[in-house]
Amino acid sequence: MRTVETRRRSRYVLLVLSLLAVTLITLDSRGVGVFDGIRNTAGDVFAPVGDAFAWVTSPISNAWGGMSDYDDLKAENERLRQRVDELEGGEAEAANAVEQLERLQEQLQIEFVGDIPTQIARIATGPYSNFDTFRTEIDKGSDAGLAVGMPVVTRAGLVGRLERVSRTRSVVQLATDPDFTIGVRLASTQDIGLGHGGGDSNRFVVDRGIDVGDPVEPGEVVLTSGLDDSVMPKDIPIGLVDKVRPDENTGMQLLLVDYAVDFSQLDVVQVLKWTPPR
Amino acid sequence: MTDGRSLIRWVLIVSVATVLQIGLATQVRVAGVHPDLLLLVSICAGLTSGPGTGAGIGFACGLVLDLFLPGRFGVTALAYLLVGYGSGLAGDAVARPTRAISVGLVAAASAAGVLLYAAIGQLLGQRSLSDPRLGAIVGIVTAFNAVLALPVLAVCRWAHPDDTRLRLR
Repeated sequence: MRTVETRRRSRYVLLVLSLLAVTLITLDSRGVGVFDGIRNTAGDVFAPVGDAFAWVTSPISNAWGGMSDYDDLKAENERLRQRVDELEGGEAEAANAVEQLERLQEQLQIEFVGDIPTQIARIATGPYSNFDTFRTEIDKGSDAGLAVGMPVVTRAGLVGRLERVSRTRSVVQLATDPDFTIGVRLASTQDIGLGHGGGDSNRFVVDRGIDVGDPVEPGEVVLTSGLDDSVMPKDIPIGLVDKVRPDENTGMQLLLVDYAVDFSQLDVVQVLKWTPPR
Repeated sequence: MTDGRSLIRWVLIVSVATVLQIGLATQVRVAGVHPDLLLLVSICAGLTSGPGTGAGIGFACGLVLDLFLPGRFGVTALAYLLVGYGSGLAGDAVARPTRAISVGLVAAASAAGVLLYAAIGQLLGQRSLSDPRLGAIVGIVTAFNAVLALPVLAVCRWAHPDDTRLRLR
C-alpha cells in the first residue's frame, strides 16, 4: 500500500510539473524564440530516423495502406492500370523511374513561377499530430536556401507556405488550413477578394471582397492577388469556383473553390524562393 | 521511489517509444489516425508505478512529443502528465487487477488523454476539440492503445519492478 508520504510527494510532483508546463506554454505564447530553435534541432536530429524507418518499413506500411485505405487504393489502382496500358508492359522498375522523372520534369516547367528562383523538394512525412492534418514536412530546409513564408506550389497550383524551417527540413502550412488566409483575384474579372482554407470541407473559401453584383460563374479561375503586402506572389492558381452563394446581409458573395492541387497525392513540390515584403 | 537503475530504464523506454512514434507509428494510419505510443507509455507508467511516476513520465513523453507538434510548446506535456497522474490514482483504486481490467483502464485513460489534449489545445486557440474527426481520433487511438496495453504494461513493470507486486498485471 502507498504511504501518506508517497501520496504527498506525488501531489507535489504533479503541482511542480503542472506549473512548469504552464510556464513553458506561456513563454511560447509570448514568442520566446528558443522553442523554435529546439524544435528545429529535434526535427534535424530525427530526420534520418524517420527516413530510415520509412525505408525499412515501406513494404509493411504499403501493405497496411492497402488494407486501411481500400477506397483510395481502388482509385489509385484504376489510374495505375491506365498508366500500365500507356507504358505497354514496360518493366515495373523502369516505369517507376519514368514516373519519378516526369514528376520532376513537370516541376521544372511551371509557367506561373516566372523568374522566381525555385527549389524542388519531396514530401518527407505527414503530420505528427492526429489533430493537425493541415501541415506536412518536406525534405529541404535552410541549407537549400529556404526561409519561413516562402510559397510552395506544384504544376497544378498553390500548395501552401513554409511555416517552420530547420537546416534539413521544413514544415508546410497547407492551403487547406482554415488559418491560411490570402488575397485572391478572379482571372476573368480581376475582382480582388480575401479567402482562407476550408479545413476538412476540402474547398477554399473566398468570403470577403466579392460584391453581390460582381459577375462570378462556376468554373472561374481563382489566383493569388499579389497585391502590395501580400504573403504570396501574384497569379498562382488556387482553383476553380465550384459554387457561388450571395449573402444579402453582408452584400458579399461566398465562393467555394475546388483546389487545383490534389492534396492526397502530394509527392514532389516546388518552393518559390520569394519572401513577403516586410 | 525511482532509483538510478529504474531512471535509466525509463529513459530507455521513453527514447525507444519516441523513435517508434516518429519513425513508425505515424505511418500506421487508420482513417488518417495513427497510434499514440507516448500517451500509452504515460498511462502504463501511472498504472504500474503510481501517480508520481506517471506524472513524471507523462511530462517527459509530452515534452518530447511537443518538439514535433505544431501549437504551443508544453500543451502535450501538461495533458500527458495529468493523464499519467490520473492513471496512477486509478491503478491505486483497483484492489484485484486482472488483464481485462488493465486493458479497460488503459482504454479509458487513452480516451480521456486525447480529449484532455484536445480541450487544452482548444483553450489555446487550436481547433482540436471542435475537430469534426474528434470521435474517430478518440476511438482509433483508444483501440490501438488497448491492443498494445499488455506488452507496454509489461515493459513498464520492468522499469519499476519493486513497486509492481500489488499493481496491475
